[in-house]
Amino acid sequence: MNVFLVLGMGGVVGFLSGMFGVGGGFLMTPLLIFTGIPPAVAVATEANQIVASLVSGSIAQWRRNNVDVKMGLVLLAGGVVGSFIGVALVKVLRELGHVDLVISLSYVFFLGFIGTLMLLEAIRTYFKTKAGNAPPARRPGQHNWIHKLPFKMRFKRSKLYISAIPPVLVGMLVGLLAAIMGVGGGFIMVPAMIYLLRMPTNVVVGTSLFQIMFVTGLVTILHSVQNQTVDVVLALMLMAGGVIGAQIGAIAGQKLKGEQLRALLALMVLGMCFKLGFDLVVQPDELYSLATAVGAH
Amino acid sequence: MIRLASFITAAFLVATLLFAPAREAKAEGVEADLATHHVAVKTDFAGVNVLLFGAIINQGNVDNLALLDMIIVVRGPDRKMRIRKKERVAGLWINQHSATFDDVPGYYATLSTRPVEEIAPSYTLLQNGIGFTSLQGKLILSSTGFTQGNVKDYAAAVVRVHQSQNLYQQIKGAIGFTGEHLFRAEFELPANVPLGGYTAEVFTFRGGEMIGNYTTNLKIEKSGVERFIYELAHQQPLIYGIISVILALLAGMGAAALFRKA
Repeated sequence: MNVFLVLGMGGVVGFLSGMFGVGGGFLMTPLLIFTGIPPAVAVATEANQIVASLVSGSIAQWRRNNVDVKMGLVLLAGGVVGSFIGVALVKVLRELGHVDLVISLSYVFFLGFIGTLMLLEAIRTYFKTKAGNAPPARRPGQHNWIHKLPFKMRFKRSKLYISAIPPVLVGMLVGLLAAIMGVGGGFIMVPAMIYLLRMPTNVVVGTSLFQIMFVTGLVTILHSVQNQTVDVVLALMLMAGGVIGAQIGAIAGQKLKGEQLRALLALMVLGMCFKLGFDLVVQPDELYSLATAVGAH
Repeated sequence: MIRLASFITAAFLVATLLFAPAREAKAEGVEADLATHHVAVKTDFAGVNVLLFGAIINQGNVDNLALLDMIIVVRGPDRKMRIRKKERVAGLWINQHSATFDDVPGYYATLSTRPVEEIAPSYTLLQNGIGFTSLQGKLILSSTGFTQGNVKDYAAAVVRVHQSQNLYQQIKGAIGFTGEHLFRAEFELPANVPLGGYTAEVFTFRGGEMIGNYTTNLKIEKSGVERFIYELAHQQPLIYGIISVILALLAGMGAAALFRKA
């Protein structure tokens, strides 16, 4: 594997995540797969890299008291369960020979979903700005089915009194996605916190960073133990590229008008979705693939 | 330069042996050595060519005047491998069937003066594990089950997939002779070469009859930091995982501190 290619990939993805404030996992893992890294290794190594990309943000949010620790711990409890299930699932899928397929399919689904949303958002904003209208503020209703669930807990920092079941389930889903896809899962977690749990926006980012950092750290350790798929040298190179790229991206993000670029990012995401889907549908040149048999090293 | 030097040294040694007065007629044979017996794999390892050199000894003591042929077989450590076959299921290409082989060499190369099938009869090749055909035969013998189809197809696919990764090679006309006695050949170890113990066997033939063989060893290992990381990941995976996370935390905090100052 070429060192400069890895540094460059880390840099480009870091730039995009710094510029748009998105996590890099859902961009980096498919890129690693495209360059020939085995999907299981790409996923586990990317989980390791995400830890590095979140730590400074987490500390900053913690200092500003933007972390709802209690909510974070409840989410984390779910995250731990989800991580264990996800890593065990990857192990079983590897033995069955279906891990590449499941990772690719998960990405086709999520990249298609995120890409479409981002593109629609960009188009809508573009026309709104042209028409000169401010986007209407969404005002969700105060009560929904979530308030009928049992095991209610009081979350002081979020000013919430809700059942522990939804945050545990959200945490579990994020843990599962981290283990199977090597993503932080912010794209699921943040909307879920805002629209489902109705958390105040000022604690959403801090609390999600807190939870994702611990979950991706745990996923890294679990994959190391169960699957030996963490490549720490690759992760460190991605971190080096990613950190520099993110700094440049953050500066560029302040100076550039982002809507066209956001649309471009959306098209890139859809392009990756298409490529992964295409590879699953088109007959491969070689139908056979080799793997070290289970029980051997 | 080192390679060349060792080659010249070896050539001198062989020459002294050759021209020493022969007290009794010995059988013709072959002796060989590798320019290196140890290949160190580091992060930037991009593959390496290894030189094999040697000499035909006691030539002329035989009545057999047929043309001399040579085959060099280099093989890597055997591993238990599973090969999977994709089939179209609901529009997607999915791994459906598989076969397991107990003894799959991680690397297999033959270098020969002519195509191996022209050098020796097939049973000689099979007996000595020379050439892809006999390799496939040995693979089939080490098969421990397959789920569907013909085991021959799976064995052929094992060879084909390794070939596409440059791990199995069959190269004819790759042996160079200097005069009547000395020869040299280079075999390529690609970047993805498996670690472990390798053997290089040299066979000489006249008229399809094997008249000499010689085996020498090669070891491919990770070295330095890479070796430490590799061993830690496989022997102490929990500690490896924890260290990976700590390194990520330190890298993240270090970067933040660096850019705050800048």
